[in-house]
Amino acid sequence: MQVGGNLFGCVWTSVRTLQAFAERGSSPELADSLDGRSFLPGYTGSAPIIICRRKSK
Amino acid sequence: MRDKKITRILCLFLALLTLVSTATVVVSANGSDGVTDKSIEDYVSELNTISYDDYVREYSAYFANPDTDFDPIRFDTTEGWVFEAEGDKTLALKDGEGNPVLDAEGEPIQLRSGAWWMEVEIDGNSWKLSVKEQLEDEDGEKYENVCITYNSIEEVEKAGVAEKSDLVFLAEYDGRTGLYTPGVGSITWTLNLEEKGVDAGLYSIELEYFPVVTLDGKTIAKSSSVEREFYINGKAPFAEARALTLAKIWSSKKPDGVSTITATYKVGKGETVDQVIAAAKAAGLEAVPGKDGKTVEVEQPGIVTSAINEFLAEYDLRFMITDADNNELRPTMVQTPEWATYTFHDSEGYYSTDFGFALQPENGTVSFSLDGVNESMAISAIILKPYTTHRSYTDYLNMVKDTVGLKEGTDTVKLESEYTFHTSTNVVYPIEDRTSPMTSPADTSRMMLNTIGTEKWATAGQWVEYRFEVDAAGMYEIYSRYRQSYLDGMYVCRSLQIFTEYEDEAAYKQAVGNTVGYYNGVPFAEAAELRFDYGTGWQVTSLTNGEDADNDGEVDTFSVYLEEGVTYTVRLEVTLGSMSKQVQKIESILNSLNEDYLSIIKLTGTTPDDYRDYKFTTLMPLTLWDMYDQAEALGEVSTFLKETAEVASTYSGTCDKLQNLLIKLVDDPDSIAKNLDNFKSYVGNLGTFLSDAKTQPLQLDYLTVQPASVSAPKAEGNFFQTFWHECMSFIQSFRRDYNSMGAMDDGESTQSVNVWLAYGRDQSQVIRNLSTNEFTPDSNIAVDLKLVTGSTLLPSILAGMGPDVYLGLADATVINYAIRGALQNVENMENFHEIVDACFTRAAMLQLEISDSEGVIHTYGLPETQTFQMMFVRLDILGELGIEIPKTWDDLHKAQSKLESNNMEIGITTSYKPFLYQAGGDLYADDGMRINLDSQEGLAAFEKMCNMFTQYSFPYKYDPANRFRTGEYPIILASYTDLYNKLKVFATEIEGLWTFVPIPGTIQADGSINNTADCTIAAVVMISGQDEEQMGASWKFMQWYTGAEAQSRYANEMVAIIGDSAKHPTANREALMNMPWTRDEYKEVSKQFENLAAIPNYPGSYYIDRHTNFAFLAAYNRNEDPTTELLSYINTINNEITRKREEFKLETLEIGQTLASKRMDQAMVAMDLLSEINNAKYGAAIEEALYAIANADKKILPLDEASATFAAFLEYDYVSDLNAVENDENLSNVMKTAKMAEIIEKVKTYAFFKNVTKQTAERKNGGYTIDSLNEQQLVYFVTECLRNAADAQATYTKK
Repeated sequence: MQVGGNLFGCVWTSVRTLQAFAERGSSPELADSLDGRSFLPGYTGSAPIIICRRKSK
Repeated sequence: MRDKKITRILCLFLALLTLVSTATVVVSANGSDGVTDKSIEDYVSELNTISYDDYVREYSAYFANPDTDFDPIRFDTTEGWVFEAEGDKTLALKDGEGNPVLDAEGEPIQLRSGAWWMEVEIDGNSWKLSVKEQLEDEDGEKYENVCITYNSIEEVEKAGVAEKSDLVFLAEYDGRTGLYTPGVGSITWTLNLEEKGVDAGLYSIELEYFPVVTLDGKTIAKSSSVEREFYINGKAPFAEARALTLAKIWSSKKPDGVSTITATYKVGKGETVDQVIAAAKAAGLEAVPGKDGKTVEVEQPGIVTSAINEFLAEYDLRFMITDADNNELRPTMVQTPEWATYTFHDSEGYYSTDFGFALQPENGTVSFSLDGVNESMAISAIILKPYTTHRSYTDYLNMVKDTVGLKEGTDTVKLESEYTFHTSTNVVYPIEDRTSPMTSPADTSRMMLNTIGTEKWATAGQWVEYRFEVDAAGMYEIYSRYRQSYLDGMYVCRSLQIFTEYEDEAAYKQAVGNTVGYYNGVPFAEAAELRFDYGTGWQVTSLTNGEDADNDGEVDTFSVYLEEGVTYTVRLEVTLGSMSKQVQKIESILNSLNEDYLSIIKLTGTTPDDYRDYKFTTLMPLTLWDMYDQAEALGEVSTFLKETAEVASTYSGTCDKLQNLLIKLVDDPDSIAKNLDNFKSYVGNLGTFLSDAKTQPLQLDYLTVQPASVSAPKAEGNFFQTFWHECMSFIQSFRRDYNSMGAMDDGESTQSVNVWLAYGRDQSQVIRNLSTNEFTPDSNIAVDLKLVTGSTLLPSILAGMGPDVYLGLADATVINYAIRGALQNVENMENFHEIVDACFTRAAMLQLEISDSEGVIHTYGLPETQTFQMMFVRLDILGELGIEIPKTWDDLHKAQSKLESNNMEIGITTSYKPFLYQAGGDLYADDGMRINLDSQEGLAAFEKMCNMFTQYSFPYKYDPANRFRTGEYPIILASYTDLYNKLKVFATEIEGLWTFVPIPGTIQADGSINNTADCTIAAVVMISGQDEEQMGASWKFMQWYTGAEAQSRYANEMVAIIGDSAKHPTANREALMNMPWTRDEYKEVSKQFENLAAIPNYPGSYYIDRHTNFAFLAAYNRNEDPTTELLSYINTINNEITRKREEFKLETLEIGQTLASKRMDQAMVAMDLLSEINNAKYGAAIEEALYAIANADKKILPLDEASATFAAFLEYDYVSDLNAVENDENLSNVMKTAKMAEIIEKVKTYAFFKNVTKQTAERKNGGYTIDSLNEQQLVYFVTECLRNAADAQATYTKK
């Protein structure tokens, strides 16, 4: 499943979406490594993922 | 010389003795219920049936020139039949009133399981069932004996012979009378062909059937298709006839399972409800005003037209169920049975034409039998049709041209793939696609189920149907927008079938005037093999088979003639199509290479010596020759793949690699030994390729029926469309809330249960779906389901942020959490005992029980899964070597010697528990206060297990699935669902060549076989710290989730989503039965399921496996004596158990002490004090007790009688109450335990009560001295001690 928009060869997505996927078991390690640099382990799409941070409330 | 003679005679005598003892074993083995009752011969005869290809060759004279010039001949199936079913339970014979039938001696007659069968037939006009058995007369001649006859189903049910759903009877279905036939037993019709003027010849066979879903208002259908085996005159004509699959009909409905799905339109400004309704009706849709007066409810149309397309596009309507955030949810799939016609054809999809049967009547008759495999159906007729092949497209086109001309149609109808009219399975359901702006429709802001298929629509025989009408007659193209990115470099096939809503061709002709637009199945041969090519993105294609028959340089596309106003149903069915030739080729290569591999390892073993000359050229020239042949065949497959895809793919690479290796091995046979591992792994890769090639995954977006002159739909958007779509997808990723997805905003749920589970996403989605659709509406309790990792539970509980309910906690962990107070005991919850009694085996429940420091037993959770070992056997190898399926360990050793001589082995595990429990032993003694492995049975079991590895050299470490697949280990004992699931996906090349049966057993004194296996469970637990109300809600969820219905649904959904490899090892008896096993599989699984050992989890249990493994390794590695080694660890284990029990303030024993001896010592001290107090009163009772204690092991005077004597002195004689419950035959074991617990609770309310288990504890933990007790307390103390001692003593001597 695509988790965001596929632009310029990368998948762009929000931390919120990634966290939801992490909680759903897509990648349990993900919750710890949401630092904007890591790729999404277990992601099977062809494009790398760039995580977009939203300012925390 | 004389000595030698004596020795010879002695040898002969010994040999005879061995033979006699073996015969005894076999005789006794046949009588047991827990072991398999099928022999290897039964399986081998099934395997040896010829294939359809061979059948066609054998009857080539029939197939060359079939008679096609006759009208179909119909045989009414409601008469002239006989039904037979084997009695697979022990039957206490009763008459139609339910009274026992007695034999000549006045004893009730009992028929052993498998030794009787029932026959049902119509006798004149009356229905009759006879129970029969086979007997031998004085001359040894066998004859059938009719034990009893019943004249109605009610009588049969009263007598307990069979349920109505397992019988045959006439019933009305949808206004037509049909013969109900169950998924078990065999029904045979004798058809009088002569009467109908049918000669010998080639025929297609059709069946009019109705898949039965409910019987007397109760749902009896499972989700699997109807499966039958077909026999002509008692013989399967060819192997494929033994696997007929008749599709069921599924429809999408609202969650209530009945209502048609509707779309809600909110009436905007400048519109009125009436206007919208009028517009909808004008388009041909049903519409009604919504409840609030501002909306319109539009019903999903059965038939799609261009007018409907326009209306839906204009008003932007979707026929889907939505959640609170407007995300689309999967509709509920329900079976909507109707009468259908099934033409016998290949269920695997290898052959695109129907089967032809060469019928040769004997005395003018022929008998057809259908053996039940799965699911029940009603049958109304068998029809013999001319065997015809489909006309070619050219012939079809000429026919259209000659009759009405090739005029182009003018209408365009779009069929959204997610709105299926019917499907053949509930696995094929709508799926979201967000990868393309051109997907119809696309919406980035919410989950939109806008496509259908993917890997779930991949198995031969699965179909989807759409219904439509065109408003102008003419030739139409059918375009499809699809994606096939699953099979790299290959194409997938679908067969297109078109049906018209008319009884037959004549009716159509009468209505329309000609028959050009009449279809009843595949319109022309090419449509049976439509091709969808590989590509990473979405593609659009017209109907094509990928060939260029007219050599115009472009692949051929096909169009069809459609009549105006006629309702057409198009069906796209998965078939192997033109890929079947390649698949068959790969299958044959794989089989040959597997055989070659087996021949090589028969010579070399699995780990050959690289430097030894095995003389392959001299010893196995045929094998080498065959390897060369297969290399050539692989080359052909590879070339085909490269030509098809125009590039090399992973699959062509697999073929190339294996081909090169084979050529190298044949050229230089000395390199075989060195490359054997490579050879095996490459063959394994080829197996994976084969299993992939057999699946035909396809994702479909829509179909359009349009004239050729209208330009084809676009597959992908242009740069700007795509850019905008992806930008929006990115932006929406900030808004989309995946956590609340699926939550229905009903506003009524007052309670919610927080449920955690540590499974995969598929599992969590299925549970979420089930709870949202079934649990919440019924209970009004919302479920907040969270998927977590396994390690999350401990920290979250410590932090006080744990869930209410946790799914899938392993048994030992349950006890670890429970004794530390993290879990809530559930034995006092509503309906606990009824649920446990009905749903779970004792083996499962016992693992969730533990007693507290007061000696009260608590249960922590309900079992969810239960796994155990079964024995997997390779039927082909055992059949070839003439080895019978082992039923006992002795049989296993016999099989081993034969296998060893062929360089094959048997895989078993290092578990001594089956041996222990089969011998009647127990792992623990004295309620877990000490280990029982130092008992005679314990030591014998452990030694037997060690000897398997040390003396018989069974392999210790191995990869079961791989070894089983290659045939190196044709017999393997392994966890039943683990290996089953693995083999289903991983070893498809040996599909049908293996089965699983209960594990070997130990012969008991009475000759029966005990094949108990140990089991482990995972449980659903309630976390402690909840208030009463919350506990009630949590319990309701637990009760629902572990219940038969939810477990069946869950198990079936998992199989549906992931495939046959997702068998869920449910712990619920009824759910296990409802799972889509085949009849044979279920029979074997249930045999083992009811023969499982109950091993409780006590504190310190982790120490046992660790130290028994040390003892095993010492025996295995250093040749130490297993018994001595094990004995050396007994005290260590007992010390650890004591240490742990002390930690949890549980009663302990001294080393060397037993509970019986401890209690007897305690009783003696108390009795001393009692005699001092009042010897006149207690003297006689004390003497009786002392005598019983002195003779405790001889049981001259049972301890419990002495206990009862003392109980009589008490204010409340609880022992007699306990005995009354114990001896009550009307109570089940669970209910007995519950009632006894009630009595014990009552005892605690009396002043004489003093907790015996606490006596030796430290004072701060409730310990006390015996001399501190008053008279009544002392009497109670003695009573309880003697009662405990009696119970403990009984366990030491039980067998």
